[in-house]
Amino acid sequence: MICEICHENTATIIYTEVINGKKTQRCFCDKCAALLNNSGKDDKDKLEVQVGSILSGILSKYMERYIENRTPNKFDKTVCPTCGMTFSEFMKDRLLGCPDCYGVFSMVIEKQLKTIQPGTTHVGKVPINAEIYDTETPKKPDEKKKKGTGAKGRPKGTTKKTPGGKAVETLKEELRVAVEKEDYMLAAKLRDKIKELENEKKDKKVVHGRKKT
Amino acid sequence: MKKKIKKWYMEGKKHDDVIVSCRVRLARNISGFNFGKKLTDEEAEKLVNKVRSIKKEIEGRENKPFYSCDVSKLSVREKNVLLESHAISREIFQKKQTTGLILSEDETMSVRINGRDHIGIAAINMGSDLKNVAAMAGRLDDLIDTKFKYAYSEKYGYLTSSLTDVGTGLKASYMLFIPAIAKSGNLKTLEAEMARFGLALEAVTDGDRQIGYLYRLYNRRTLGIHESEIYESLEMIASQISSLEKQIRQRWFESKGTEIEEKVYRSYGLLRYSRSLKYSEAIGLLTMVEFGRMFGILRSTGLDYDIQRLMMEIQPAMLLETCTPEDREVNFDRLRAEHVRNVLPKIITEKEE
Ligand SMILES: [Zn+2]
Ligand SMILES: [Zn+2]
Repeated sequence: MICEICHENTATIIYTEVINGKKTQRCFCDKCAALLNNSGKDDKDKLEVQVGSILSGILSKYMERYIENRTPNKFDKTVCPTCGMTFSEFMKDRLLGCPDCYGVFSMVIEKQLKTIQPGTTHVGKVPINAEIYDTETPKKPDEKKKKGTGAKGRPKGTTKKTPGGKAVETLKEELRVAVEKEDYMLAAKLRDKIKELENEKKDKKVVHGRKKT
Repeated sequence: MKKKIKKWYMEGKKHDDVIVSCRVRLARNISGFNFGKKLTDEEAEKLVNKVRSIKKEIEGRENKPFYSCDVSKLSVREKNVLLESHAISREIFQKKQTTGLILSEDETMSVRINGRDHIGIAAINMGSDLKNVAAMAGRLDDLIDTKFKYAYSEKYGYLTSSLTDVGTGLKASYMLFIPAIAKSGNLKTLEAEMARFGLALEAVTDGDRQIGYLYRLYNRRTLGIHESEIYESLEMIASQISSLEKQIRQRWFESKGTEIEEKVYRSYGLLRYSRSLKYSEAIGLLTMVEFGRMFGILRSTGLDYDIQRLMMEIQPAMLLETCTPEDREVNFDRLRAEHVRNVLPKIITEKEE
């Protein structure tokens, strides 16, 4: 595949971008990706092409555009009440400051995840003893404690919900959509996953939510 | 650290000439502490002490001795040894804040504290048995899970400081020795292919120099994908790369046998008699010798010691560790040549006529 920017070199970075449910395949060569990655930044090691940072570099370009087009100033003033992370600080190296940052910057994070990850909902191993954070709504500054905790103090209304419960529900929703879209390959995969998760739950001898190995 | 303990990379020939070793890393964070970027020095110290306190429990569970330390208090040389043997990440190596390590004596299992994330659980071993390594890391994870509260969300899974780790927090990798693919110019195409599977293929470097045609194949995706899927795709791709590498090697040998034979013998001769060897030079020569052994030009003595181990041992800090020179002033190139001269004839010899 040829690079979409220079139309010359073989593309070495290929990924599918999903924006508003529309899939587009993007492909860049090393050189163009490095350019994209470094434009606007005064990086000392311009020549070093680090695969991991290329993607996030490209993403930051998209994000900048996205932010410009939508709410120019709204995000800039967003600060995480727990750790003090500001929006621009987060955009600089795209590292979060604490678990609450996920909720605070959720709009942007969801968007970024869509481009770098195959899905935006966790499947797989589930801890037994975790502190469960609400990553979908920003924490308010006066809120003292996170929404819920794992073993003991779950948030009201979710008392019976196990950490894996949501995953199954979400998968079922994804399955419904997949069937609607007639994406049967995906549907079959999802069905297997749901079955697997449900079997694990039934099998009480197996520690909750874990995959047998 | 005690010596004479058999480390994982001293396991002799457990690999298949292409897949050298495999590793699993799980990124975890503990609730109640900010992530690395927003962690104060005080909190860092608290975190490290807290996690280091479970060493005894880990020993009990694993039934083998572990070693624990404050990495930031080690000497540069000690830190270098840990870095060269992959026991700590570059991030921890460079960090000024308190950082910690719990490491099994054979160095297969480790808990790295206050790196990019609060806890990096790692397991590594020679060969291609990724499942076994995954199980080792999983056991450490399960134990730590009972001791501390991981930061977790139902939507995003294990919360990490980087969006490239969130979800499973899992990075699994194979270390591949692929000189034939690298020299044949097929690497770029291969790297592009990898992207489609959500994997990445990267040269292993010691910061700026590439190390001996070693490449790391790892998963880029961590969210919305099940651990078992990650392992499966890696296993599948690694075995495909392995057979491709072997094919190219074979084709090469068939078309340029005499030329290769000459290069192999010259390399062997240089390694056996040089008085001074630069690191990159030594790696290049050892690669040719390893080729020679694979093609049957040279012969392995059957000693439980292989070229991959020798390649690890000639890194600067490991070299000091292995040879423990008396002098304070050390000439690395001379020390390296001496070590290679001592070891190489014992493990690789000329083919008997
Ligand atoms: Zn290009
Ligand atoms: Zn925060």
